[in-house]
Amino acid sequence: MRETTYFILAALQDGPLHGYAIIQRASALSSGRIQLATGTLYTALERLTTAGHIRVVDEQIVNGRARRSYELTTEGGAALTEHAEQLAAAARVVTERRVNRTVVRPA
Amino acid sequence: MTTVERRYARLVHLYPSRYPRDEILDTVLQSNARFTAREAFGLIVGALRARTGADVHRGPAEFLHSASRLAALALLVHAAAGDVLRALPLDVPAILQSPDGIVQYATAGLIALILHVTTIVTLARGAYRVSAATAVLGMIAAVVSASRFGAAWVQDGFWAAPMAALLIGVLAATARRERSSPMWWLLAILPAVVLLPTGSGAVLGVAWFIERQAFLVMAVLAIAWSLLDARVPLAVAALGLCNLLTIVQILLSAGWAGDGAVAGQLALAAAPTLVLLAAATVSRRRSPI
Repeated sequence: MRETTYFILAALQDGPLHGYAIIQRASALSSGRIQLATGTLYTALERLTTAGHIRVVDEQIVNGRARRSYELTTEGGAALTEHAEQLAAAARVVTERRVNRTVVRPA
Repeated sequence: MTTVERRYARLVHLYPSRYPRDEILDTVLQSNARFTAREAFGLIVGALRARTGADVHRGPAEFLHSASRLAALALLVHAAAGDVLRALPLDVPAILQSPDGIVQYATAGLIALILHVTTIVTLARGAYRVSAATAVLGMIAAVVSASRFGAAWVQDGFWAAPMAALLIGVLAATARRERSSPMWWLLAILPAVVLLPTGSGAVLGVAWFIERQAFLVMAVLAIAWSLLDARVPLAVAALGLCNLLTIVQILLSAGWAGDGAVAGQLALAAAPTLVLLAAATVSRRRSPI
């Protein structure tokens, strides 16, 4: 899973969001590293919808235009969790080694 | 509608109608009060991805399958373009004036053309087993047709038919099927007669020997297109590989394999194909989604 996809799915963890809110939330969660262009977002949303990781949950008309909200599906949530665990395991390779080095000292 | 809104709306309309155009416009206007090059580029790239099928998520195996299918279709266009040259009506004077009855070669060329066109249609439509059978038959007919000029395997574009048959055979052995319209592939056959290495200059006139320049232009376009879709440079690399095999065959048959200068020329001929493969690899690895 690419980092951009990961943060789009992570943005939907706390409930459904529409396109612009996903861009803002993904940026906030990644401390500003992920700045999604609208074109990139909708390519990703199309792929994730086709893959069954997200679905359209609501549609409102705002300023005469349709504004749909997307939510994480069970499959999407599982894929996100699995990837997060992989990242955490990869991070432990470094962080736990650092802890061991500080704890285990020669007598 | 403001000027900014109108400019973004024009770009959003590049998306196919199955995409939520209204919603995309709403989102881009919420994100930007001004028209920015970054958003414009993102919308154009997104729309092109949507229109070319590059927006579909593909795992490594799916990607390899889809890229092989595109490469096979490109090779079939190349093979069919060669068949056009060897079949009617371009070579009518040569057929009529020849004392040793070469009509069978032109007939074989025509049969090869029909079989390769059938292969393009069936492969594009997802009938892989039928296309594998017609590809093998088309390859045999193409070899018979090309043998009119001596050793078939050293002629321009010879390797397109065998490589396509091999790729389609592998694709037919898998369970995956991909379908699309064959129209653009069929329309590409005639331009390919002069744009791909078919030896068209020998038949149409020296002024038509533009295949090397055309391949370089195609390689540059495919490298640029790798920003959108890593499958395209791979398909063009297959065409380059086909040409390279012909050059290697000529060198081997002429006994020039050990010549240092010839090796340099060979490396130069291989360079566009290697760059295309590198562009496809980078594109695949750097894909943001």
